[in-house]
Amino acid sequence: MEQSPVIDELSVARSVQAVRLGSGHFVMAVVLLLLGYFLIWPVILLLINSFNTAADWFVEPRSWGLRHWQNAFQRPGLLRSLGNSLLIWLVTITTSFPIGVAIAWILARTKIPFSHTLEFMFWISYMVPSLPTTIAWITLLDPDIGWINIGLKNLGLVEQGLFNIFSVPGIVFANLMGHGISIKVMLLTPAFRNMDASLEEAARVGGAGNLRTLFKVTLPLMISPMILVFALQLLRVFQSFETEYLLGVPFGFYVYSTKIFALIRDPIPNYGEATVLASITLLMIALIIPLQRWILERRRYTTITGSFRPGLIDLGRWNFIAFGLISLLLVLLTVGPLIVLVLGSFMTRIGYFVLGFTLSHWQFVLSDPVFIKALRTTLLLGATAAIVSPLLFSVIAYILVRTRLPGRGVLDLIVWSSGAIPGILAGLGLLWLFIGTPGLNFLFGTIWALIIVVILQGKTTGVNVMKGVFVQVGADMEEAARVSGAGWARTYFQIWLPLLMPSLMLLAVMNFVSAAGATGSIILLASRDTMTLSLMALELSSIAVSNREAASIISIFIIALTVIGALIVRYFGLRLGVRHDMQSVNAGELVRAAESNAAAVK
Amino acid sequence: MTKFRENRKHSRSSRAANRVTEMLMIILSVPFVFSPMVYAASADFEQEWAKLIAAAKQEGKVAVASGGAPSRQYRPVVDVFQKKFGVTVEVSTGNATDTVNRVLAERKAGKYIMDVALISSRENNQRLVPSEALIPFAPLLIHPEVLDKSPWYGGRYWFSDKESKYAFIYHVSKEDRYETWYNTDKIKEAEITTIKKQADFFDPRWKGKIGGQGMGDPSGLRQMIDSYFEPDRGQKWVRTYLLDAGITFSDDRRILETWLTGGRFPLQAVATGSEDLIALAKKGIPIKQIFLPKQVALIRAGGSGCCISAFANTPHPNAAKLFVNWFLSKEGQTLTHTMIPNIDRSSLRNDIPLGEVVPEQRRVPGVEYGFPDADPKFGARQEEAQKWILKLWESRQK
Repeated sequence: MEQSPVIDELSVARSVQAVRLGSGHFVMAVVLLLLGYFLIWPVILLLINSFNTAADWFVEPRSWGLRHWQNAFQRPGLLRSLGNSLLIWLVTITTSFPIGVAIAWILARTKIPFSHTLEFMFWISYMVPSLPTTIAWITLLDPDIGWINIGLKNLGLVEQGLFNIFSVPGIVFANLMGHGISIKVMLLTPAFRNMDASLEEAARVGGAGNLRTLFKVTLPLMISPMILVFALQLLRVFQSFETEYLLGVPFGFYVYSTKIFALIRDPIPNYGEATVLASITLLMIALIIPLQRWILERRRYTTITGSFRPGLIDLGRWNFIAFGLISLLLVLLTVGPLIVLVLGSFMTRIGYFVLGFTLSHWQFVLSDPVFIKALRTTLLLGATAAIVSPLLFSVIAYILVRTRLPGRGVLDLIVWSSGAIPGILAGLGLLWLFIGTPGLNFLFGTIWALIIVVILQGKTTGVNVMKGVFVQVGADMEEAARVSGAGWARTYFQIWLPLLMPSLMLLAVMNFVSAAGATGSIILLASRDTMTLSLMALELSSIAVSNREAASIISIFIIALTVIGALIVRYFGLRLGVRHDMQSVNAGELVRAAESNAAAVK
Repeated sequence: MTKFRENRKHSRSSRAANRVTEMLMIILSVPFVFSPMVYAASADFEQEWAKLIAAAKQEGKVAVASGGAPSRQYRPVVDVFQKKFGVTVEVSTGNATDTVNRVLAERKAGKYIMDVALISSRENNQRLVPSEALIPFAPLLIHPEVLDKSPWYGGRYWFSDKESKYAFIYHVSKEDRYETWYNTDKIKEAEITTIKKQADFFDPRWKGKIGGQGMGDPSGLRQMIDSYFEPDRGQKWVRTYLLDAGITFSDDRRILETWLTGGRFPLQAVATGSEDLIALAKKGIPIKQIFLPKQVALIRAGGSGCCISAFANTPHPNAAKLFVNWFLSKEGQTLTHTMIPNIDRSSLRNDIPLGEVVPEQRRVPGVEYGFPDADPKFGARQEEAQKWILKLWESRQK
């Protein structure tokens, strides 16, 4: 890649030496032991057992062999499903990535009105579970009975349904409308905000226009967070499941993850072959780790230094056009599914306006004695994950990026590898972990087991998001604090935390959403006493109960809780953190002033 | 001779009279002879029952492994038990497979948490019995209403496992005809009446018009396993239905429902989610059911609401014993009929009101139904059919 001269002038962040050899090693040992135990041991247990040839691991006695490995790769249609997964992923990523990057740049680097509100709306769209979103789009885009298709037919514009959600483009569209775009905007916007405006201003002073600055300065500077986000998406290539399953089965389109899910949901769950198929994601990690190590080692993209100067570009009338387009997208991403959810909760039966509206589903949910318990448990899990996880992940990321402690490679491997196994399989590993460990089995069946699981479950995304930020931040501020006599803890809380605050806020929200929506990872650990709202929604929307209206109400509660939590997080976060827009300057004016100065000099 | 005859006649009539008198005396004397015994038995039971209640209260809890709809449906029923005996009933969450996974993993690790299972015959036969997690059920029964077999269908107990001793069947669904649904806006009555037998669904005119439940859903799989054994359908029919009939499948019941009601796939050859469809039809949605004859009328023990079994090494043995006896008593079984709205199965007890049981599920008195799930050999055959169907289903994915 051709390097921008502007970037070459950047100060390169240097790693701070390990805190102190003794204590640093001790901290690393503790972190490796704890994370290795809770994150990797369940995966290892699953992998070891994949050589247990018993058809039903829970019933038959153990016998060892390669049967599951042989059978798994002989499954009919396996190659086709692999190809289908790659196809869906590629089309989704090539569409969502440029859109996500463009929106993140507009929200963070331009003077678009209400940028923080728009960003927050993307958070909300992320909070809407993907199942109701997909159902909403089926309601609208079913080729024969979808409301949009019927509307077009009634208007005489088409003779047959124009859109078909049960198709490859339909699956891609549903993925984009689900979390495909919002997750990228959420992860990239804080990174774009962390960029020093003086670099862009310098480019403009040098005569570059906005677009040239974007491609020659901004995007190259953002390469590390973008590649980290890309790597995180790569991890999901064989895991994305729900939308593909719902929309693909009717037209005989199966993806790799559908195969894994089907094996687990067999009448006699075939965990052996499911583990074998899931382990292919570990190969992805073999690609991902060198890629992100390359990013970290280059570390030439420091964008926040002691002289950090945020600044926003004035796009003129394009500000409003961008605002309109993003708002329109947000209506599709957020308002649409939310309306379907809320409306559905009042409908006698979702999809049937003729049957009228009712409060009975609300009465049903609110009078359920389990509901209040589940609400309390969810709040506890969500709040714990929102507070503890970001801090923990930031410390792990700090160790990985800012120290030279031995064992960082292993730690990184732990963080990535544990994300390779889908939640529904990891749940079994965690069950074994909690019931099979003498010192830990007292936690089984209690809220503490769930707390540990939800705190750690967002680790791959969380640690890597924080790594991205640490890569961006220069060493000078930390060094200044340390030279002034501040200890590691003081430096961390007084220097790092305010700098990290936007990303910590983001992770707090993401972890709240992930904890409140956890199902696969905790289903084998939860009891009636520790039931969560997400498990309640799962039960209500299961085939046997099939009460999607009541499940919608639970989703509404989860979203409401998350929104309230996110507002609180933002309120405190914006006060505690560095305000990236406080000194926002009119970059256009600056450039013009610089140009006139230059002209005057000439 | 005539006198002799008369004498004989007289003596015969007097002997008959004597016999009647004897019989009457015996009948009349029964209460006097047996009442102390009955009284003693009743007093013994009352004593034993009171002791059991006290011991169960001491244990404080009974943990029930359940799955699917029953884990919710039984909540009001077990609430009555809790209030009556002061013993908490903890019913598991999640689907049956997850529940059994968890229970078996716990037991392998030496943790015995569950007392009773209210779970499907399949989970019992294929997983709980082979893993030796259960104990024989009949020895737990002490309640006179349960011990008396006469009110139970066929005057006996029914079990679903191959040894006929672990998984007690208490509820069954009735299948005496095939149910099919169609959209009345899209299919005319004259057209639908051309379907007389099961093979008629494969007529080319229906290609691309039928929606069906996928095998990712346990009830979809059960439908096909049942079809496999039915003389009207059979193996060949199942193969054609899954592979060659141009049927569009979904594992999501609500999607199937909207396909039918919206007319995208206006025919459901194998009815899915009938209770909901009946409710929708009553409210004016343009769908209608038709019934096709079935050669053999069956009762089936499927789903988690069919069978009760008891775990070995139970942590609350007395509470478990109290629960199973109460649950199978007239009171317990009556509550399952009266407290679960529109219940689509009925108790094998014949001496209780039918309450909320939907009309189609009420057994006709005097009719003898085939009961394959109670055949000890059926489990193994069912397992074979299941494997064959799943293989067929997966072959669609090529």
